[in-house]
Amino acid sequence: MGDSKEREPLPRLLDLIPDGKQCKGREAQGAGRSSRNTGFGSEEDKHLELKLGPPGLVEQGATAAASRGIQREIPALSLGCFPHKPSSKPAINTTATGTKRGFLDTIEAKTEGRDEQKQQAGAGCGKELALDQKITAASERKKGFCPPTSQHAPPPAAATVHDRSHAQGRRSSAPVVGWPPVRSFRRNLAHGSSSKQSIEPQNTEASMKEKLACKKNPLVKINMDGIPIGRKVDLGAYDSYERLSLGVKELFHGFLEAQKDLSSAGSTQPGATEKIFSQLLDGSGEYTLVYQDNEGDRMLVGDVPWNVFVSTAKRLRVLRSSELSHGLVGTRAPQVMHAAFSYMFDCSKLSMTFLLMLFLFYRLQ
Amino acid sequence: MGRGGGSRAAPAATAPPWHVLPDEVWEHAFSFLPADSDRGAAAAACRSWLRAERRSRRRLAVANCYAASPQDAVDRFPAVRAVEVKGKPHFADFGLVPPAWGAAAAPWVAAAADGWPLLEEISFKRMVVTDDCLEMIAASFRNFQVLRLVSCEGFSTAGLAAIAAGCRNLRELDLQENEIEDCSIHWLSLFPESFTSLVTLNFSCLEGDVNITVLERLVTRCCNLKTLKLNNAIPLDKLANLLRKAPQIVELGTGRFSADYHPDLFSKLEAAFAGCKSLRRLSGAWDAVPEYLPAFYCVCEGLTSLNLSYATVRGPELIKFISRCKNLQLLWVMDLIEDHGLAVVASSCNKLQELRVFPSAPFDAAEQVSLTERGLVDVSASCPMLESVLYFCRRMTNEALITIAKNRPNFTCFRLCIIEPHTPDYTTHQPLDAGFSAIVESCKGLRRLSVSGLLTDSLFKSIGAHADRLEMLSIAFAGNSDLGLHYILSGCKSLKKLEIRDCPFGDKPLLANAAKLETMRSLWMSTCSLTLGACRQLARKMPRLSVEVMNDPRRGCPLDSLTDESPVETLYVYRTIAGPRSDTPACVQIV
Repeated sequence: MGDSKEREPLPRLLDLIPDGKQCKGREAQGAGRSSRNTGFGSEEDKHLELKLGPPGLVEQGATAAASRGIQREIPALSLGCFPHKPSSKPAINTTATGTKRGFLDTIEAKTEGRDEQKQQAGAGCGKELALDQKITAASERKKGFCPPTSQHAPPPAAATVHDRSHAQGRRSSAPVVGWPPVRSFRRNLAHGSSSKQSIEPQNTEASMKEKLACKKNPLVKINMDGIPIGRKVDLGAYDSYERLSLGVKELFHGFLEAQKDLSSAGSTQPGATEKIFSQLLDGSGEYTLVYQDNEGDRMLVGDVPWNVFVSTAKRLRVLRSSELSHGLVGTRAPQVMHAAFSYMFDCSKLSMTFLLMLFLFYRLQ
Repeated sequence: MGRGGGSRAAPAATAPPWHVLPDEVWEHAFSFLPADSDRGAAAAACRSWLRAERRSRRRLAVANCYAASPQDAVDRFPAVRAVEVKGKPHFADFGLVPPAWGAAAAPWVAAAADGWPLLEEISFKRMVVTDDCLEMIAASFRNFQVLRLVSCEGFSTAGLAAIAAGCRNLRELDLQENEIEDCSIHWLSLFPESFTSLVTLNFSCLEGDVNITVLERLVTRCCNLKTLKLNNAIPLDKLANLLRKAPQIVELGTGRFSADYHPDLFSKLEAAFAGCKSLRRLSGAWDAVPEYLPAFYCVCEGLTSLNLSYATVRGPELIKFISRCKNLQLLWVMDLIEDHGLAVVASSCNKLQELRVFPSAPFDAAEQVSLTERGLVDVSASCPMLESVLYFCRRMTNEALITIAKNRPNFTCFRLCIIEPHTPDYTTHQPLDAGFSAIVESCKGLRRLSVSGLLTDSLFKSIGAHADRLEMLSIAFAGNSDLGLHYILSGCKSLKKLEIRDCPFGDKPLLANAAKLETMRSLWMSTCSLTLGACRQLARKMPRLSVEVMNDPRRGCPLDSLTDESPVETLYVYRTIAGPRSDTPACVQIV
């Protein structure tokens, strides 16, 4: 289900591929696959993008493989350059497939007659073009398969001056790199919004997808105050808060020891770090484990049932308990109560026991 | 004062009585001359002025990082305090420039660290700024105050952490539309506790979370903070707290402006906004939901600038909100506002100077958004101060453009993008030549123009003849022959930047107007009808131009082995005093 949301930008991106294929035959497929990935904007894509492009300054000593990558990229980048240049034909023929060649031939024939056509700029051509665009629009609607350019390309021999633009118009029915001139930042936004704006079913799809993603990838980041390096933790590998707390200890124990060694050479008591991690969950120690839930709120770890926690936690942090007093979670109990109450009213699935627990917690404070 | 000195100097050039004045006096005099062009002209007067000018220059702007070498810049202007360098061509914004094209900031940072230890401001635009660059900036300048990165890439939050930790006097950290890698460093927490100098903090382009507690503390202690732009990871319920801690704020970019509706959250927000008496500019509002828009109402009156171009909100609430902003000078919205929304804008925002309407679904023609020429006509009719427009729509008529031109001869910037290329006037099916011609003919002060739709050479004739002040022109999918380009290059007296894509323009006009290119900053032509031979000729004829050829499909084979008839996919020409650059990647070849 989540698929269909992902698929949405794809047809457009994929539209590039058939064109690319025509230009470069099989070579283009590699580029096609990667341009498809860009729809997701994952880290992996960035990686691919880098490979797609020409070798950067860093990659100066580019390998042969990298330069092969470049060659694959070209079709997408140079999309649409061929029809302009009859002279480009000989070179292209080396890699072009049969269809492409036919296309180029027709273009060449057309451009040869261009000079005479120039004089014929008439009023009628506009209408012709409008009609033509209807056709392209119609063909565009059949998304999913991209009409091969060659089917469109050969215009009648007695064409007017706008034939060239006709050809371009057709080509532009498949997306053109960099057109419309919208920044990539905004492009992503537009994709996101169009899916968000439209009807409900997609919303549920999106949330389902989110849930799926949660299940598939329970790897979340965890940072500890005072330790500059973050870790990742697989929440799926634990089954209770206690085990998680042990896991957190494993992750940061070494760092803490190293820091202590550096700062005060051996003057600390041996059990100090043990103590830190044993009190992560009850909030009485130097550090407290908090997490950011799927709504972006920072919550204390331990309040909700474990499986609810796993599906909502987006990020963990081992917070200095001193930070709890000023800031987000705020002055301990009342704020926690408040957060818990609003949370409870949001999520009907939470039970009364939870409420009771909170009350007890509050009284104890 | 400086200007006065300049005009007196002209007649006295033969025997200058002021020649005996010491350089220090001149240097002081030149400090009253802010405009770069004036300073350039004055420096050309005589040697002592040249000396004085170069020693007193505090701000330097380099519009193309390859036009001069960083070392030359440092040598010529040793006392620079603020430097701005721009890198990649404008079309890089739309993905037309190969990713590894160049424009590395590193050589500039290195030269600056060496030659300008007192540097206070750095602005980079469309450059590749690495974490190492940022670390070097943090470590090299004693009194560094302003870092502005626009559309840059190549760095991560680790670099930002270095800036936060190292720049003790930082006033502005302005990150606009950069690609920043998130490496899970709490960079904000690296601003020292004693640090209070921040005036501008903009991290709206950052993807990923920031530590909100730390941010709140930072905002609380920086009591001069005027601009705060959050990214869309900051949830709505944190905004009220932040605002309460910075009621002096003038410019705000909100984070994500969506949440389930809670009356108490709403009233908290409303109260927080009510406290921001000096708020003038508002942006952000990612994913805004209509229920929360009324929280803005109490600041509407004071707003002069409203950027909702990331807010995917539509409907009556949006329109009602904007209609309350009577004093808007700048409005950026998505086309979701539709024609009737713009009609309301026209009737309520009479002080509007700049309007931008962005497409919500640029690739989806089926998306039902009723935004046409009508909206722009309405706004142009009732907003007498409107002078800058960027407008994306799907249909246009000559009649509408003629009306707009008649309504607003004061346009300085007119950028119209009709999304489908080659779209004619939808009523008459004629090219849009007449409409755009009307714009260039009546808007005498036009400095920037982008044209689209079905256009023929006759428009370019008109542009060449009338657009005397035009500095930047963008053309796509237009024209029918070489003549089009010839008209532009032989006319357009003030043209600095010309960018063309997918137009049937060939070698002849380029070679015929080669001298014109030396007066311009740059020319970009992609997917036109150029040959390598012409580029070679151009490079030979004009040694001070750098002629770059890109995306050659038969990369791998060196340029020398290609014949003159080989087509050129992309040509980028710019003038330079530094000679050909040495950092060209394999996809770029300098002819």
